[in-house]
Amino acid sequence: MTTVPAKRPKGKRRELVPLEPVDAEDGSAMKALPSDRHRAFIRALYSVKPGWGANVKAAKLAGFGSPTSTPQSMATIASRLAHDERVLSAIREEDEKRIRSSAPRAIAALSALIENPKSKDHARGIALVLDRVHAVETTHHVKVEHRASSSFKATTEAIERIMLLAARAGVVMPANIIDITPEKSTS
Amino acid sequence: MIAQDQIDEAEWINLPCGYWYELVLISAIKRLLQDDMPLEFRARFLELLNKKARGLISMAAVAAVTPAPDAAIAMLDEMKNLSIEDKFKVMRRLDVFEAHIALNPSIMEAISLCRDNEISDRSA
Repeated sequence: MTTVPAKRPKGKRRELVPLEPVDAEDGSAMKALPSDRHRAFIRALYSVKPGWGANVKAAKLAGFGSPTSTPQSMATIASRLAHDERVLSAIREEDEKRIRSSAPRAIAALSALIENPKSKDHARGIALVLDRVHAVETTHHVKVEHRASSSFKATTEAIERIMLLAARAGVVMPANIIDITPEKSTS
Repeated sequence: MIAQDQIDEAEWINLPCGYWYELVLISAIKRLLQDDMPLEFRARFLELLNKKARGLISMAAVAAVTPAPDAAIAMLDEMKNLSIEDKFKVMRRLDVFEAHIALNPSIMEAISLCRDNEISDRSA
């Protein structure tokens, strides 16, 4: 005999378990913003539909303006917010956070891709993983050969004999021909 | 004649090294001209000597160079088996040229005149 679960009575919804408090902190740029409305504006930018009027919608969602604000004044508020250096820094910080936090999903998608041989990007996915796990090794063999040509030998020998003759003739050569010693400028 | 102490000892380093061999050759030619030789040869050597006055080397600089001493000629003889490129390689060496200057200080005087020639060329 199978037991059928009791049907939930209509009109009565299951009560949600209160969310566990999460100790999540904003970054330094977000914290540096002057108000919570500014922080809400940043977060709203990621939730509104991108495109024309996205900044205005985000500003409205964050609570900027008033019910009587004209579209022109809202546009001005949104524009000023979007071009504020503090807001731009916070957007950059939030961008990085969101990209970093989406890495697990990207990895999950990649795993799904390499598990699916029918996918057209299956091979690319495998190559991507292998490139990161076993990076392609490039070995350079640099062979340095010093060949003393007959010309080089003859020149060296000639120089040696010349210097010997100079020494015999009483020419005293300094040990260091050019002695470059940096001196402090007197001026 | 310019006194030795009036010449900057490092002045020759300012002269492009291609001219170093030329000045040494001038002194060698002058040394050859001291020997007996047919008139035709002498004329050709004198012609060659005049042709050496070009670029930074003025006629006055050519005139200032005295005949090379025995030791300098012996040093040049050591290069006779080398190719022209190798001869220039040897003569571009600071120690070799400095030895030639030490043996024949008139080369330094000629360099001083080369500098004057360059200055007058620039101002012209």
